[in-house]
Amino acid sequence: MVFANKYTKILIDSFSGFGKCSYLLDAYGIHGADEGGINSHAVFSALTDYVTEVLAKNVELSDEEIKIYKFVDNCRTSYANSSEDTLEGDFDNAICTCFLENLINRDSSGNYDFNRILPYLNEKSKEYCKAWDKFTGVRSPGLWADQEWDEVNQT
Amino acid sequence: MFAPIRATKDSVTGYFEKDNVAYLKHCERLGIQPDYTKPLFAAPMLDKIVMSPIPDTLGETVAVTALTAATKPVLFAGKQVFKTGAKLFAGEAAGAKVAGVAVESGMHKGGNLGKVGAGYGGGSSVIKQANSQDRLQLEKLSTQLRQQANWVNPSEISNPKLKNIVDDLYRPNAKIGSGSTADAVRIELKIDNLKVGGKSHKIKAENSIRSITDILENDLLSAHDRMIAENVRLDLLDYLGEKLWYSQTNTPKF
Repeated sequence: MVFANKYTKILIDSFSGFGKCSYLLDAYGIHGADEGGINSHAVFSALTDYVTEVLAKNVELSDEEIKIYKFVDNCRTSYANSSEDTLEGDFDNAICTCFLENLINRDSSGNYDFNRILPYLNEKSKEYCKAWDKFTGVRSPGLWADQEWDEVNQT
Repeated sequence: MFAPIRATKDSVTGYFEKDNVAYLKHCERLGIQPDYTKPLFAAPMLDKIVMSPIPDTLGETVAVTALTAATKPVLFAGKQVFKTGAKLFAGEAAGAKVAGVAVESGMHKGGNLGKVGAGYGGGSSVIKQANSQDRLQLEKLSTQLRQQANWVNPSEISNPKLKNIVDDLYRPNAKIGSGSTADAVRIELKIDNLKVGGKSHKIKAENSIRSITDILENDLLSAHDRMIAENVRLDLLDYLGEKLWYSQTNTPKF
C-alpha cells in the first residue's frame, strides 16, 4: 500500500488487525490510486468502520481498541495546532473529521457507544467533539457538564 | 393516496393524489413497502424531475412542477419542507404547475403515456408553459429538500457500505441545519475562516463522493438504497460552485 501521509503508515503498522481488515482494503481499492497514495481521511474512515463494526461489537474493550483510542488522542494532542498544509495538520484533520466526528455521529444513530472512547480523550480531542456538538446542536453523552451545555445553548 | 404518473425522457415520473391501486402495484413491482408519509417517497421523484432533460427554450412545453409556496426559504423546518414536497406530487397545492406530463391513473388509463403534451385533468394541476424561472424554482426546491436530512434514515439502508458512509455524514436529530458534512463544507465556503472546530471538511466530502460513486457503479443496490446514494451524493456535490444554501444560518441567495 502507498500512503499519502507517512503517519498513516505508522497507524497501520501499529495495528495489524486494522491493516488486514476488509474496510481498509476496500478504501484502498477506491482511493489507493490517488496521486501519492491513499489519503489519511480515507484511512480514518476505514478505521471508524473497523472500530465500530469489529472491535466495539465486544462488550469489553480489547487492548487493541484502547490502544487505538490512545493513539488517536496522542496524535490529536500533538498535532492539533499544526497547519493543515503540513502532514501533521492533515493527519489531525483526518482524525477530527473522519474518526472522532464519525464516532459521534454513529453514537447518535445508535451504532456505537461514545462512552467507549470518552475516557481516553484529553482536552484537544474533547475540544473538537464539543465543536461538532455545537455545530449540530446535539449533546454527546458525558462530554458536557450541564451548566456548560446550557451556556452553549444560550449563546 | 397516490397514483403514479409516467414519463419518458422528455417528461417526468411522479405521483398524483388520486388512488392507491397503481401506486401499490408500483411498490409491489419494486419490492418496496408503500409509504406515503415519508419524504423518501417524494425525494427521488423530485430528483427525477430535476434530472429530466428540460429544453432551454422559453415557452417550450416541458415537464415542470413548481410550487410557489414551497420555494420560499424554509430554514430549520425540514418536516415542513417535506410535507410540502409530498404535496408537490399530490399536484393539488396552490400554484402547482404540471406541463407535458403523461398520466396514468384510474381516470386516464391509456392516455398518451410518455408524450409531451398529455396533461392531468384532475385537481388544480394545469398545463403551463415552463420558462427558465420555473426551472430555477424547481432546482431550488430540489436542492432544499436534499439539504434537509429528514429523508435520510441510515437504519433503512440495506447496503452496509452505504449505511456506514451515510452514518458518518449525518448527525441524527441535528438541531441546526442537517448536521451534515455537506453543511459543514457549505459554511466553510460561505463564511471565511469559519470551520467547525477549525477543521476543513472538504476532503471528507470529496472522499465520500468518490466512495458513494463507487457503490453506485459497482454494487447491486435496491431502489431505496440507490435513491439515498444518489441524493446524498448530490447534496455533497451541492457544496461545489454557487449552489444554493438553505440549511444553516445564511439567507438563501438565488
